[in-house]
Amino acid sequence: MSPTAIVTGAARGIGAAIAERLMTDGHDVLLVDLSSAVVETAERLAAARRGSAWGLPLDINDTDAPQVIAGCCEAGRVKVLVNNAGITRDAMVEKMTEDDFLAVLRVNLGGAYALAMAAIPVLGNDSAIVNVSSKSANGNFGQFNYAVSKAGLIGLTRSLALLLAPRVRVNAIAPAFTHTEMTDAIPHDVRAKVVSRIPFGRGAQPSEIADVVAWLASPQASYVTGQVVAACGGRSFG
Amino acid sequence: MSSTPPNTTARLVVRPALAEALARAGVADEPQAAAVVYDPFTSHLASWADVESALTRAFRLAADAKREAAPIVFVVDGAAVYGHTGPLLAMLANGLLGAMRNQAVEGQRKGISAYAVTASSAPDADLAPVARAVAWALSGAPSSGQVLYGDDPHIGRPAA
Repeated sequence: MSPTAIVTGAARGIGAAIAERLMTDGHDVLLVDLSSAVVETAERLAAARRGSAWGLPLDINDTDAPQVIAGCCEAGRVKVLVNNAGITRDAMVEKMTEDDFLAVLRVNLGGAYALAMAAIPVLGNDSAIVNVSSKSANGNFGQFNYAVSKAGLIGLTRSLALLLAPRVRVNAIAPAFTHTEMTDAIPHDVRAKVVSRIPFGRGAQPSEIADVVAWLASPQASYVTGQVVAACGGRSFG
Repeated sequence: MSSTPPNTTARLVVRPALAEALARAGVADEPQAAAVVYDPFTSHLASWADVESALTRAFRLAADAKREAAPIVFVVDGAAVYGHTGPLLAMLANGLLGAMRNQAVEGQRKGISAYAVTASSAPDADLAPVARAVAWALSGAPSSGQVLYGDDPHIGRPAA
C-alpha cells in the first residue's frame, strides 16, 4: 500500500483535520510533521477511519526531507499534496530578528516549494496540490515574515498551476483566524479583538478549513486551478 | 498622477536603468535619504537560495525604513505576480507584495507608506512609467498598501 495523499504539518490542528477529512474521502494518507506526535495522530486516524495512515516525523527544512517524503510514495499514485506546515515568529518588523524572518520563510515557503518540486514525479494524472496560505498574506501586525511567506505561497500556487496544467491542479486556501492549539495560546483579550472583526463573529474550526481543502483536492473542483480561496468568515472584506 | 517631477531623494537599491529613469522622473539617489526603493532587478533566479536572499534584503530594508519612519517602494516583476515566469520569480514577486502590504499595515498609524510598482524585468523594458509611479508613491500619496502598475501584463495574459 502506498499513500494517495500527503499532508504536512499534520500532527494536530488544521493539518490533522485535513488528513482526517481526506481519509473520509477514501485516501490513504501520509502525515508529516516535525513533532513525533504525528505517529500517534496517524495511528488514531487509522483506527477511527477506513483506510491507511502513516505518520512520518520529519523536519520539512532538512535538505533531504522532500526526497524522503516522495520516496515513501509510488510514482503516479499520489492524488493530493497539501502543503500545510507552517510556523510563526511574530514581532513588529523593526524588532524582528533575521533568524526569525528566515525561520518562517524557510518552513512556510521554502519547504512547500521543495516538497512540491520533489513530489511532481509521484503525483498522478488529475491530482491536486493545495497550499495553505493565510489571510495574513495581505499584512498583519507583527507578521512581516509570515505575510511574506504566505504571499509567496500564492505566487508558488499560480506558477505551478500554469506549469503543471492540466495534469495537476494547484490551488491555495487563505484561512483567517482558526481555533487550534497554537491560536488558543493567544491571550483571551487579543483573541476576542481578532474575532470581533470577523463578520461571522467566530473563528473557524479546523474541520471547516479541511472541508475546503478537500473540495479543492476533489474532482468536484476539476476546472479550478491557480486560485486562492479565502475561508475567513467574511473577514477579507468585513 | 502628477506630471511634475516631485524632486525628491531616495535610497535606490535598483537596476541602473531604473535609477536613470527615476532621475528623469525627479527621484535622485541619496544613500542617506529617508525613503527607500527596492528593485530585485532580476529576470532569472537559479535556486531557492536566490529567492531567500532577495526577500531577506527586502526584510532588512523594510525594518530600516520602519525604524526611520521612511516610505518604501518595492518594484516587482508584473508577469511574475501572476505566475507567468516560473515558481522562483513568482514566489519573489508575491513575497514582496506581502512585504509591502505588511509594511503598510504596520506603518498605518505612524503615516509610514508602502507601495509596490510592477515592472518588466526584460533588459529593454520601458521603465519611464515605472519611475513615474515610484515618484508618485514617494510624493506623499494617500493610498498606502496599493499595487501600482508600471507595466501592462496585468491586462489579460501576456505572451509566453
